[in-house]
Order: sequence, then structure tokens, then C-alpha cells
Amino acid sequence: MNRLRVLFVDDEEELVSAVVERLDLRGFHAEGATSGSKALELIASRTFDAVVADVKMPGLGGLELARDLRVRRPEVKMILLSGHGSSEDVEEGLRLGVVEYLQKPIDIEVLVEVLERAVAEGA
Amino acid sequence: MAGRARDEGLAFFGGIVAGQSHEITNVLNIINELAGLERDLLEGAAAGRPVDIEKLLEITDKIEAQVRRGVIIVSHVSRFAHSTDLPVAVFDLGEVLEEVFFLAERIARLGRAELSSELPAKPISMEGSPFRVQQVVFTCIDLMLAALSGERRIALACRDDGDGAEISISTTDPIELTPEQEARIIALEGQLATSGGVLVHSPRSGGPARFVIRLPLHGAGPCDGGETTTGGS
Repeated sequence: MNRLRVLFVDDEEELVSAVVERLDLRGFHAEGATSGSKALELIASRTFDAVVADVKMPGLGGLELARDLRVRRPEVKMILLSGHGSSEDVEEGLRLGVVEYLQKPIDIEVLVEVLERAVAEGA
Repeated sequence: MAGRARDEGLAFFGGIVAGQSHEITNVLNIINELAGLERDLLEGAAAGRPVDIEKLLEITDKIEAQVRRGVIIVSHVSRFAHSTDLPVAVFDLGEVLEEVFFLAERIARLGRAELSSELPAKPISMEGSPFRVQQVVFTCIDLMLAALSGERRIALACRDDGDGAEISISTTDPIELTPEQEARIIALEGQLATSGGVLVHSPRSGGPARFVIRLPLHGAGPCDGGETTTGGS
């Protein structure tokens, strides 16, 4: 079975490294980026099935990333993470084709379930 | 004017607390993931996978580092909250500006700007409202960040000028203030004037920008529009 390729994006480096490792342990091929702009560079050079990104980051945030992905890589599933859950952000995300909005702190098993479902639905 | 000053003070207080709460949440999220990773590795070990002791110790070190980070944030928030204990207090301006610097570093980071400081080596003892001093300085930094273009570097400095202190917030790059931002500066100028303080913004449009706040030794920090405390020359 092909391992799902996931890019995890958050400006907290320790969070990225821990989540990437936990996803790897669960059979994903996970990579991390600590900014929206670094994420775009990786997306341009590699193939991902899904991107998980924090809404609020310095510079390019999760919503801007979703907007960009929709144009350049519409086949890539986008999941956003938020600590606040503003309804405007959620509505904007859904308009941009975000498949799921998850609240922090992350429940890794929920994230795994959402990733697998999102990619399966798009297959 | 008193009502507006109080409302702005509350908004400033709320904004700081909300921002630092977000930072504390970040710390807790990281601890949550690191603890989860530790559990994953231990469960793997229980299922027969090799135990990487060094890795587990590394994770423990990272958890402890985040706890220390959280303690620092909470202690700054506590000091900030206590700056409102008394409307008039005796305080060291350098310490108060260190607090502002810590609090402003967050908005600088989010705004992708670099904030540096040059604070006095010796204490500058002042009498007034440390909360209001923080509010004025933070607001100036916030305004400058919002109006910055180009290199995005802001410097906070302070010097004892004998009968008070001079605080400067400066950048080498041009800023263009909107009418709303100009109005906020005018309001700050007015509030400072009620306690003998002065805020100068130069230049007023275009070119490298500088806010200079002069505070008297007594009555430092704008008052709420009630009894005026005068000080300095």
C-alpha cells in the first residue's frame, strides 16, 4: 500500500517535528514546514496527498496557503488547524475547499482518520 | 476623555492578555504532542520495538524546555497584570520597558519584523502609572509595525535626560500613517500631555520614522483625564 504523503505546516518547529514523527509512526510519509512560504516551496517541488496547516502563522497563513493550493494543486486535500475557531475563518476555509477544520490541541488519531478519509474520498 | 482613555486601556489590556494566552496555548500544544510522541515510542517498545533511550531523553528535555518557556510567559503576564494595581506607583522605567519589549516581541514576530532594544544600564526611578507607560510605548510600536514597509526593523531605546526620561521607538525605513493611525497618535499626545509627558512623531509622513516619548520623573504615564499630575520641566 502506498504511504499517504502529508505536509504539516506550523510556525512552531517543535510541534512540526513531533507531529511529523507521530504521523510517520502511523504509516504516513510526512514532512514539515515552519512557514507558509516554505510550504509553498515544498509543494512546488514534491507531491503531497494532503496539507495540514495552522490558520495563524507569521506571513503566509493557512487560509492564504489554501487559496494558493486551490489554484496550483486542486487535487491536494487541505486541512486547517486553529486554536480559536473563528466562524469567519471556517467559512472562508470551506469556500476555499478546505476539507476539514480541526481545533488544537491536535488529537493525532482524529487527524489520521481525517487524512485517510479526505484522501479516500478524493481518489 | 477619561472614558475614552479607560476604554483604550481596557482594549490594550485585553489585547495583551489574548496574545499571551495564545502563546501559552502554543506551549501546551507542543507539550501535548511531545508527550504523545513519548507515549507512541513507549507503546512501541512494549510491543517489542527497540527502545531508543537517547530519543526519549531528548523528548523529555524538550518538554522541560517548553515548561520553562511557559513559566516565563506566565510571569511576564502576571507582572503586566500587576502593573495596574495602583494608579500611581514608583517604578524603574528600565524594568517596565523590558516588559514592553517582551510583550511587543510577539507582534513583531507575527508582523515579520525585528525588534531590538537599548535600555538603560542603571535604574531610572519614576513615579506614575507603569501600565500607562507600557500602553503608550506598546501602542507606538504597534502603530509603527502596522505602517512599516521595506526592511521592517524597529529599535526601542531609552535614556535618562536628567529630569525625566526619553524613550524612542525608531525605524530606518519610511512609514505612512493612515488618518486613523494619526488620530491615535494625536490622542496619545493629548493623554501624555495631561501628566507632563510629550510625544513627538518625526517625520510626520515619509522618510525614516521616530516616536520620541518624554516622561517626567513624577506623573509618568498619561492619566485618565482626572486630576493632572505635573512633573518635569
